[in-house]
Amino acid sequence: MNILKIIAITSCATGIAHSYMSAEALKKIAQKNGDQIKVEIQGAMGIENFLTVKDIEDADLIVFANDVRISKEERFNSVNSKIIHIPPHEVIKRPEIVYEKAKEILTNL
Amino acid sequence: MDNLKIFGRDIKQALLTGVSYMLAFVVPGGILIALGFAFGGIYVYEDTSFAASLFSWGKIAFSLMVPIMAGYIAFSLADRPGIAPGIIAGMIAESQGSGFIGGMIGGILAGYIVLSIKKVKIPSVLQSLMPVLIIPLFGTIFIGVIMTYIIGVPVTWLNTTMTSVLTNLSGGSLIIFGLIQGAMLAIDMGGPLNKAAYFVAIGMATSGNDWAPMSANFIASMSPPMGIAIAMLISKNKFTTLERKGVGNCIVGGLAMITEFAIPYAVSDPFRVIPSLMVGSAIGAALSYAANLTLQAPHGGVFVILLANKPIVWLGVLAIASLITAGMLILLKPKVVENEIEIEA
Repeated sequence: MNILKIIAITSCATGIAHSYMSAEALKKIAQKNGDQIKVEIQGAMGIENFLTVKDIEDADLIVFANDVRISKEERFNSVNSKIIHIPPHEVIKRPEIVYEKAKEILTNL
Repeated sequence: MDNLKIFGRDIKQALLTGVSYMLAFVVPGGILIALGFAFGGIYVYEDTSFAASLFSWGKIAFSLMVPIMAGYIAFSLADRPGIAPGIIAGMIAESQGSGFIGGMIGGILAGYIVLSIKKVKIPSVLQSLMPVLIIPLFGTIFIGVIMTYIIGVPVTWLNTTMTSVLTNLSGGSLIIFGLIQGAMLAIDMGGPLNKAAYFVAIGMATSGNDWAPMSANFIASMSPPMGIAIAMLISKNKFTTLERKGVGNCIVGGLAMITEFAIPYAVSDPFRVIPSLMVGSAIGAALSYAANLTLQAPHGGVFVILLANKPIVWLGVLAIASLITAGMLILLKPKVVENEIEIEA
Protein backbone atom coordinates (compact mmCIF):
# COMPACT_ATOMS: atom_id res chain seq x y z
CA MET A 1 0.00 0.00 0.00
CA ASN A 2 1.14 3.54 -0.73
CA ILE A 3 2.00 5.97 2.00
CA LEU A 4 -1.08 8.05 2.68
CA LYS A 5 -1.02 11.78 3.21
CA ILE A 6 -3.37 12.48 6.07
CA ILE A 7 -4.28 15.89 7.46
CA ALA A 8 -6.43 16.55 10.47
CA ILE A 9 -7.95 19.29 12.58
CA THR A 10 -8.64 18.86 16.28
CA SER A 11 -10.58 21.10 18.65
CA CYS A 12 -12.43 20.87 21.96
CA ALA A 13 -14.48 23.09 24.24
CA THR A 14 -11.77 24.14 26.67
CA GLY A 15 -9.12 24.03 23.97
CA ILE A 16 -6.41 22.80 26.30
CA ALA A 17 -6.86 19.07 26.78
CA HIS A 18 -8.80 17.04 24.21
CA SER A 19 -7.48 19.08 21.28
CA TYR A 20 -3.92 18.12 22.09
CA MET A 21 -4.65 14.59 23.23
CA SER A 22 -6.53 13.72 20.06
CA ALA A 23 -3.77 15.30 17.94
CA GLU A 24 -1.26 13.05 19.71
CA ALA A 25 -3.46 9.99 19.18
CA LEU A 26 -3.82 10.76 15.47
CA LYS A 27 -0.08 11.16 15.02
CA LYS A 28 0.60 7.88 16.76
CA ILE A 29 -1.90 5.83 14.78
CA ALA A 30 -0.66 7.31 11.50
CA GLN A 31 2.92 6.60 12.42
CA LYS A 32 2.00 3.04 13.31
CA ASN A 33 0.48 2.56 9.88
CA GLY A 34 3.48 4.18 8.21
CA ASP A 35 1.49 7.13 6.88
CA GLN A 36 2.30 10.84 6.81
CA ILE A 37 0.20 13.14 8.93
CA LYS A 38 -0.05 16.84 9.72
CA VAL A 39 -2.42 17.93 12.46
CA GLU A 40 -3.74 21.45 12.90
CA ILE A 41 -4.84 22.19 16.45
CA GLN A 42 -7.58 24.76 16.98
CA GLY A 43 -7.32 25.21 20.70
CA ALA A 44 -7.56 28.02 23.20
CA MET A 45 -4.46 29.66 21.72
CA GLY A 46 -6.04 29.88 18.27
CA ILE A 47 -4.74 27.92 15.29
CA GLU A 48 -1.49 26.01 15.67
CA ASN A 49 0.28 24.23 12.82
CA PHE A 50 -1.88 25.83 10.12
CA LEU A 51 -2.81 23.60 7.18
CA THR A 52 -1.85 25.36 3.95
CA VAL A 53 -3.63 25.22 0.63
CA LYS A 54 -0.95 22.83 -0.59
CA ASP A 55 -1.38 20.54 2.42
CA ILE A 56 -5.08 20.39 1.71
CA GLU A 57 -4.70 19.81 -2.04
CA ASP A 58 -2.21 17.01 -1.52
CA ALA A 59 -4.13 15.21 1.20
CA ASP A 60 -5.58 11.75 0.60
CA LEU A 61 -7.64 11.81 3.74
CA ILE A 62 -8.89 14.63 5.98
CA VAL A 63 -9.94 13.99 9.56
CA PHE A 64 -12.08 16.51 11.44
CA ALA A 65 -11.91 15.68 15.12
CA ASN A 66 -13.74 18.74 16.37
CA ASP A 67 -16.17 19.57 19.17
CA VAL A 68 -16.01 23.25 18.38
CA ARG A 69 -16.84 24.71 14.98
CA ILE A 70 -13.79 24.69 12.74
CA SER A 71 -12.34 28.09 11.87
CA LYS A 72 -11.47 28.87 8.29
CA GLU A 73 -13.47 25.88 7.15
CA GLU A 74 -13.82 27.34 3.64
CA ARG A 75 -10.29 26.06 2.92
CA PHE A 76 -11.82 22.60 2.62
CA ASN A 77 -14.72 23.41 0.31
CA SER A 78 -13.17 21.74 -2.73
CA VAL A 79 -12.18 18.53 -0.95
CA ASN A 80 -15.39 17.73 0.89
CA SER A 81 -15.46 14.12 -0.24
CA LYS A 82 -12.23 13.33 1.58
CA ILE A 83 -13.40 14.48 5.00
CA ILE A 84 -14.38 12.18 7.83
CA HIS A 85 -15.84 13.43 11.12
CA ILE A 86 -14.92 11.79 14.41
CA PRO A 87 -15.39 13.39 17.84
CA PRO A 88 -12.04 13.99 19.58
CA HIS A 89 -12.83 11.79 22.60
CA GLU A 90 -13.47 8.84 20.29
CA VAL A 91 -10.14 9.40 18.60
CA ILE A 92 -8.44 9.38 21.99
CA LYS A 93 -10.33 6.31 23.11
CA ARG A 94 -9.72 4.23 20.01
CA PRO A 95 -7.48 5.78 17.34
CA GLU A 96 -7.99 2.83 14.94
CA ILE A 97 -11.47 4.19 14.29
CA VAL A 98 -9.84 6.66 11.90
CA TYR A 99 -8.83 3.91 9.48
CA GLU A 100 -12.10 2.04 9.91
CA LYS A 101 -14.12 5.12 9.07
CA ALA A 102 -11.80 6.05 6.21
CA LYS A 103 -12.14 2.75 4.39
CA GLU A 104 -14.70 4.02 1.92
CA ILE A 105 -12.64 7.05 0.98
CA LEU A 106 -9.43 5.04 0.76
CA THR A 107 -10.86 2.35 -1.53
CA ASN A 108 -11.83 5.05 -4.02
CA LEU A 109 -8.29 6.31 -4.28
CA MET B 1 -33.25 9.91 11.07
CA ASP B 2 -30.05 11.06 9.46
CA ASN B 3 -31.31 14.63 9.47
CA LEU B 4 -32.09 14.38 13.14
CA LYS B 5 -28.59 13.12 13.79
CA ILE B 6 -27.04 16.00 11.88
CA PHE B 7 -29.31 18.43 13.73
CA GLY B 8 -28.17 16.95 17.05
CA ARG B 9 -24.54 17.21 16.03
CA ASP B 10 -24.98 20.83 14.92
CA ILE B 11 -26.62 21.81 18.21
CA LYS B 12 -24.00 20.06 20.29
CA GLN B 13 -21.20 21.61 18.31
CA ALA B 14 -22.86 25.01 18.59
CA LEU B 15 -23.19 24.79 22.37
CA LEU B 16 -19.60 23.66 22.77
CA THR B 17 -18.42 26.44 20.47
CA GLY B 18 -20.31 29.00 22.55
CA VAL B 19 -18.84 27.66 25.77
CA SER B 20 -15.39 27.52 24.25
CA TYR B 21 -15.30 31.20 23.33
CA MET B 22 -17.00 32.16 26.58
CA LEU B 23 -14.46 30.53 28.90
CA ALA B 24 -11.87 33.27 28.39
CA PHE B 25 -14.36 35.79 29.83
CA VAL B 26 -15.28 33.67 32.84
CA VAL B 27 -11.82 33.58 34.33
CA PRO B 28 -10.90 37.29 34.38
CA GLY B 29 -14.48 38.10 35.40
CA GLY B 30 -14.52 35.86 38.43
CA ILE B 31 -10.99 36.57 39.56
CA LEU B 32 -11.20 40.35 39.19
CA ILE B 33 -14.44 40.45 41.16
CA ALA B 34 -12.85 38.38 43.89
CA LEU B 35 -9.73 40.58 43.92
CA GLY B 36 -11.94 43.66 44.09
CA PHE B 37 -13.64 42.27 47.19
CA ALA B 38 -10.34 41.14 48.65
CA PHE B 39 -8.69 44.58 48.40
CA GLY B 40 -11.73 46.80 48.71
CA GLY B 41 -13.96 45.03 51.20
CA ILE B 42 -17.54 43.93 50.69
CA TYR B 43 -18.80 47.40 49.77
CA VAL B 44 -16.17 47.83 47.08
CA TYR B 45 -18.76 48.75 44.44
CA GLU B 46 -19.57 51.98 46.31
CA ASP B 47 -15.91 52.91 46.17
CA THR B 48 -13.70 54.80 43.71
CA SER B 49 -10.42 53.04 44.51
CA PHE B 50 -8.33 50.84 42.24
CA ALA B 51 -10.00 47.85 43.89
CA ALA B 52 -13.34 49.25 42.77
CA SER B 53 -12.01 49.48 39.21
CA LEU B 54 -10.85 45.86 39.35
CA PHE B 55 -14.30 44.92 40.57
CA SER B 56 -16.05 46.83 37.80
CA TRP B 57 -13.84 45.32 35.08
CA GLY B 58 -14.64 41.89 36.47
CA LYS B 59 -18.34 42.73 36.41
CA ILE B 60 -18.07 43.79 32.78
CA ALA B 61 -16.27 40.58 31.84
CA PHE B 62 -18.97 38.58 33.63
CA SER B 63 -21.81 40.42 31.96
CA LEU B 64 -20.28 39.59 28.58
CA MET B 65 -20.29 35.85 29.27
CA VAL B 66 -23.84 35.10 28.16
CA PRO B 67 -23.75 37.46 25.15
CA ILE B 68 -20.46 35.98 23.90
CA MET B 69 -21.73 32.45 24.42
CA ALA B 70 -24.96 33.19 22.53
CA GLY B 71 -23.05 34.99 19.78
CA TYR B 72 -20.73 32.07 19.13
CA ILE B 73 -23.56 29.54 19.33
CA ALA B 74 -25.20 31.46 16.50
CA PHE B 75 -21.84 31.78 14.72
CA SER B 76 -21.41 28.02 14.82
CA LEU B 77 -24.81 27.49 13.21
CA ALA B 78 -24.97 30.37 10.73
CA ASP B 79 -21.36 31.44 10.30
CA ARG B 80 -20.28 35.07 10.46
CA PRO B 81 -23.69 36.74 9.99
CA GLY B 82 -24.91 34.86 13.07
CA ILE B 83 -22.61 36.72 15.44
CA ALA B 84 -24.48 40.04 15.72
CA PRO B 85 -28.02 38.68 16.27
CA GLY B 86 -26.56 36.03 18.57
CA ILE B 87 -24.71 38.51 20.79
CA ILE B 88 -27.79 40.72 20.89
CA ALA B 89 -29.93 37.72 21.90
CA GLY B 90 -27.45 36.98 24.68
CA MET B 91 -27.49 40.61 25.82
CA ILE B 92 -31.29 40.49 26.00
CA ALA B 93 -31.07 37.29 28.05
CA GLU B 94 -28.53 38.96 30.33
CA SER B 95 -30.68 42.05 30.89
CA GLN B 96 -34.01 40.26 31.31
CA GLY B 97 -32.54 37.76 33.76
CA SER B 98 -33.08 34.59 31.78
CA GLY B 99 -29.36 33.94 32.16
CA PHE B 100 -27.53 30.99 30.66
CA ILE B 101 -30.62 29.07 29.67
CA GLY B 102 -32.03 32.14 27.94
CA GLY B 103 -28.69 32.77 26.25
CA MET B 104 -28.43 29.21 24.98
CA ILE B 105 -31.92 29.17 23.56
CA GLY B 106 -31.43 32.68 22.17
CA GLY B 107 -28.17 31.79 20.47
CA ILE B 108 -29.61 28.67 18.86
CA LEU B 109 -32.71 30.52 17.65
CA ALA B 110 -30.63 33.43 16.37
CA GLY B 111 -28.51 30.96 14.40
CA TYR B 112 -31.48 29.33 12.74
CA ILE B 113 -33.19 32.66 12.10
CA VAL B 114 -30.10 33.91 10.28
CA LEU B 115 -29.88 30.65 8.33
CA SER B 116 -33.45 31.04 7.14
CA ILE B 117 -33.00 34.70 6.23
CA LYS B 118 -29.96 33.67 4.17
CA LYS B 119 -32.20 31.41 2.11
CA VAL B 120 -34.59 34.19 1.11
CA LYS B 121 -34.20 34.95 -2.60
CA ILE B 122 -33.56 38.60 -3.37
CA PRO B 123 -32.62 40.31 -6.64
CA SER B 124 -28.89 40.06 -7.24
CA VAL B 125 -28.41 43.85 -7.28
CA LEU B 126 -29.56 43.87 -3.68
CA GLN B 127 -27.38 40.90 -2.72
CA SER B 128 -24.78 43.06 -1.01
CA LEU B 129 -27.45 44.42 1.29
CA MET B 130 -27.93 40.94 2.75
CA PRO B 131 -24.97 40.87 5.16
CA VAL B 132 -24.82 44.58 5.92
CA LEU B 133 -28.49 45.43 6.31
CA ILE B 134 -31.05 42.68 5.96
CA ILE B 135 -29.60 39.96 8.19
CA PRO B 136 -28.47 42.17 11.08
CA LEU B 137 -31.66 44.21 11.06
CA PHE B 138 -34.29 41.53 10.60
CA GLY B 139 -32.29 38.95 12.52
CA THR B 140 -32.28 41.31 15.48
CA ILE B 141 -35.96 42.18 15.17
CA PHE B 142 -37.02 38.53 14.99
CA ILE B 143 -34.81 37.37 17.82
CA GLY B 144 -35.79 40.41 19.87
CA VAL B 145 -39.49 39.64 19.53
CA ILE B 146 -38.93 35.99 20.42
CA MET B 147 -36.68 36.70 23.37
CA THR B 148 -38.73 39.51 24.85
CA TYR B 149 -42.30 38.41 24.23
CA ILE B 150 -42.23 34.63 23.86
CA ILE B 151 -39.48 32.87 25.74
CA GLY B 152 -38.38 35.72 27.99
CA VAL B 153 -41.06 35.38 30.65
CA PRO B 154 -41.07 31.60 31.20
CA VAL B 155 -37.30 31.21 30.94
CA THR B 156 -36.63 34.13 33.28
CA TRP B 157 -39.07 32.58 35.75
CA LEU B 158 -37.35 29.21 35.40
CA ASN B 159 -33.92 30.77 35.85
CA THR B 160 -34.75 32.85 38.91
CA THR B 161 -36.73 30.05 40.56
CA MET B 162 -33.92 27.59 40.00
CA THR B 163 -31.35 30.02 41.39
CA SER B 164 -33.41 30.84 44.47
CA VAL B 165 -34.25 27.19 45.16
CA LEU B 166 -30.60 26.24 44.88
CA THR B 167 -29.34 29.18 46.97
CA ASN B 168 -31.88 28.44 49.68
CA LEU B 169 -30.99 24.80 50.01
CA SER B 170 -29.65 24.02 53.45
CA GLY B 171 -28.64 21.17 55.69
CA GLY B 172 -29.39 17.71 54.35
CA SER B 173 -30.72 18.82 50.99
CA LEU B 174 -27.55 20.82 50.43
CA ILE B 175 -25.47 17.71 51.09
CA ILE B 176 -27.57 15.73 48.62
CA PHE B 177 -27.16 18.51 46.10
CA GLY B 178 -23.41 18.30 46.67
CA LEU B 179 -23.38 14.54 46.14
CA ILE B 180 -25.24 14.88 42.83
CA GLN B 181 -23.13 17.83 41.71
CA GLY B 182 -19.88 16.00 42.50
CA ALA B 183 -20.98 12.80 40.79
CA MET B 184 -22.01 14.74 37.68
CA LEU B 185 -18.69 16.54 37.54
CA ALA B 186 -16.78 13.28 37.69
CA ILE B 187 -18.91 11.01 35.52
CA ASP B 188 -17.79 12.28 32.13
CA MET B 189 -14.67 14.24 33.08
CA GLY B 190 -15.20 17.45 31.17
CA GLY B 191 -18.08 16.26 28.97
CA PRO B 192 -21.65 17.57 28.75
CA LEU B 193 -22.80 16.45 32.23
CA ASN B 194 -19.71 18.00 33.77
CA LYS B 195 -20.33 21.24 31.88
CA ALA B 196 -24.00 21.26 32.92
CA ALA B 197 -23.00 21.01 36.58
CA TYR B 198 -20.37 23.71 36.02
CA PHE B 199 -23.02 25.99 34.56
CA VAL B 200 -25.24 25.61 37.59
CA ALA B 201 -22.31 26.66 39.78
CA ILE B 202 -21.45 29.61 37.52
CA GLY B 203 -25.09 30.62 37.34
CA MET B 204 -25.44 30.67 41.10
CA ALA B 205 -22.25 32.67 41.48
CA THR B 206 -23.32 35.27 38.93
CA SER B 207 -27.04 35.57 39.61
CA GLY B 208 -27.14 34.64 43.29
CA ASN B 209 -23.64 35.74 44.34
CA ASP B 210 -23.36 32.36 46.05
CA TRP B 211 -19.85 30.93 45.69
CA ALA B 212 -20.35 27.73 47.68
CA PRO B 213 -21.25 25.66 44.58
CA MET B 214 -18.06 26.87 42.91
CA SER B 215 -15.96 25.62 45.81
CA ALA B 216 -17.64 22.21 45.52
CA ASN B 217 -17.08 22.36 41.78
CA PHE B 218 -13.35 22.93 42.24
CA ILE B 219 -12.94 20.03 44.63
CA ALA B 220 -14.97 17.60 42.55
CA SER B 221 -13.14 18.57 39.35
CA MET B 222 -9.67 18.38 40.85
CA SER B 223 -9.99 15.17 42.85
CA PRO B 224 -10.28 12.74 39.87
CA PRO B 225 -6.79 13.31 38.41
CA MET B 226 -5.35 13.88 41.91
CA GLY B 227 -6.88 10.65 43.17
CA ILE B 228 -5.56 8.68 40.21
CA ALA B 229 -2.08 10.12 40.77
CA ILE B 230 -2.17 9.17 44.45
CA ALA B 231 -3.41 5.66 43.62
CA MET B 232 -0.55 5.23 41.15
CA LEU B 233 2.01 6.35 43.71
CA ILE B 234 0.68 4.08 46.45
CA SER B 235 -0.19 1.00 44.50
CA LYS B 236 2.15 0.65 41.55
CA ASN B 237 1.12 -2.86 40.57
CA LYS B 238 -2.45 -1.84 39.70
CA PHE B 239 -1.40 0.34 36.80
CA THR B 240 0.63 -0.44 33.71
CA THR B 241 4.08 1.06 33.27
CA LEU B 242 2.70 3.21 30.51
CA GLU B 243 -0.15 4.47 32.70
CA ARG B 244 2.25 5.31 35.50
CA LYS B 245 4.27 7.53 33.16
CA GLY B 246 1.30 9.90 33.36
CA VAL B 247 1.58 10.46 37.09
CA GLY B 248 3.16 13.89 36.64
CA ASN B 249 0.48 14.90 34.18
CA CYS B 250 -2.22 13.82 36.59
CA ILE B 251 -0.78 15.85 39.44
CA VAL B 252 -0.47 18.96 37.27
CA GLY B 253 -3.94 18.33 35.82
CA GLY B 254 -5.36 17.96 39.30
CA LEU B 255 -3.73 21.11 40.62
CA ALA B 256 -4.81 23.07 37.56
CA MET B 257 -8.37 21.70 37.65
CA ILE B 258 -8.25 19.96 34.29
CA THR B 259 -10.39 16.87 34.92
CA GLU B 260 -9.70 15.67 31.38
CA PHE B 261 -6.39 14.17 32.46
CA ALA B 262 -8.37 11.39 34.11
CA ILE B 263 -9.88 10.30 30.80
CA PRO B 264 -7.23 7.85 29.56
CA TYR B 265 -7.47 5.93 32.84
CA ALA B 266 -11.24 5.87 32.76
CA VAL B 267 -11.23 4.73 29.15
CA SER B 268 -8.94 1.79 29.80
CA ASP B 269 -11.06 0.52 32.70
CA PRO B 270 -14.36 2.43 32.79
CA PHE B 271 -16.41 0.25 35.14
CA ARG B 272 -13.91 0.45 37.95
CA VAL B 273 -12.41 3.89 37.41
CA ILE B 274 -15.49 6.02 36.74
CA PRO B 275 -17.41 4.91 39.87
CA SER B 276 -14.28 5.51 41.95
CA LEU B 277 -13.95 9.04 40.61
CA MET B 278 -17.65 9.70 41.17
CA VAL B 279 -17.56 8.58 44.80
CA GLY B 280 -14.53 10.73 45.63
CA SER B 281 -15.93 13.80 43.86
CA ALA B 282 -19.43 13.38 45.31
CA ILE B 283 -18.14 13.15 48.86
CA GLY B 284 -15.70 16.02 48.25
CA ALA B 285 -18.46 18.30 46.96
CA ALA B 286 -20.79 17.37 49.82
CA LEU B 287 -18.04 18.04 52.38
CA SER B 288 -17.39 21.40 50.77
CA TYR B 289 -21.00 22.39 51.54
CA ALA B 290 -20.89 20.81 54.98
CA ALA B 291 -17.85 22.92 55.84
CA ASN B 292 -19.47 26.08 54.40
CA LEU B 293 -16.63 26.58 51.96
CA THR B 294 -16.75 29.19 49.23
CA LEU B 295 -14.28 29.97 46.49
CA GLN B 296 -14.63 33.17 44.52
CA ALA B 297 -13.12 32.12 41.22
CA PRO B 298 -14.63 30.26 38.31
CA HIS B 299 -11.49 28.31 37.32
CA GLY B 300 -7.80 28.11 38.09
CA GLY B 301 -7.37 25.17 40.44
CA VAL B 302 -4.98 25.47 43.33
CA PHE B 303 -3.52 28.67 41.91
CA VAL B 304 -6.53 30.68 43.10
CA ILE B 305 -6.82 29.01 46.47
CA LEU B 306 -6.34 32.30 48.33
CA LEU B 307 -9.77 33.29 47.09
CA ALA B 308 -11.32 30.54 49.21
CA ASN B 309 -12.90 31.64 52.49
CA LYS B 310 -10.95 29.00 54.44
CA PRO B 311 -7.95 27.91 52.33
CA ILE B 312 -6.58 25.38 54.83
CA VAL B 313 -9.91 23.60 55.37
CA TRP B 314 -10.42 23.75 51.65
CA LEU B 315 -7.12 21.96 50.99
CA GLY B 316 -8.08 19.41 53.61
CA VAL B 317 -11.37 18.63 51.87
CA LEU B 318 -9.57 18.33 48.55
CA ALA B 319 -7.10 15.91 50.15
CA ILE B 320 -9.92 13.82 51.63
CA ALA B 321 -11.76 13.67 48.30
CA SER B 322 -8.59 12.69 46.44
CA LEU B 323 -7.71 10.05 49.02
CA ILE B 324 -11.20 8.54 48.79
CA THR B 325 -10.89 8.40 45.01
CA ALA B 326 -7.44 6.80 45.35
CA GLY B 327 -8.71 4.34 47.94
CA MET B 328 -11.63 3.29 45.75
CA LEU B 329 -9.30 2.79 42.80
CA ILE B 330 -6.87 0.66 44.76
CA LEU B 331 -9.74 -1.35 46.19
CA LEU B 332 -11.51 -1.97 42.88
CA LYS B 333 -8.69 -2.32 40.40
CA PRO B 334 -7.06 -5.74 39.99
CA LYS B 335 -3.33 -6.19 39.68
CA VAL B 336 -2.24 -5.76 36.11
CA VAL B 337 -0.44 -8.50 34.32
CA GLU B 338 2.29 -6.55 32.57
CA ASN B 339 2.42 -6.70 28.74
CA GLU B 340 -1.24 -7.60 28.66
CA ILE B 341 -2.65 -4.12 28.33
CA GLU B 342 -1.40 -1.44 26.03
CA ILE B 343 -3.31 1.71 26.72
CA GLU B 344 -1.83 5.11 26.03
CA ALA B 345 -1.75 7.31 29.06
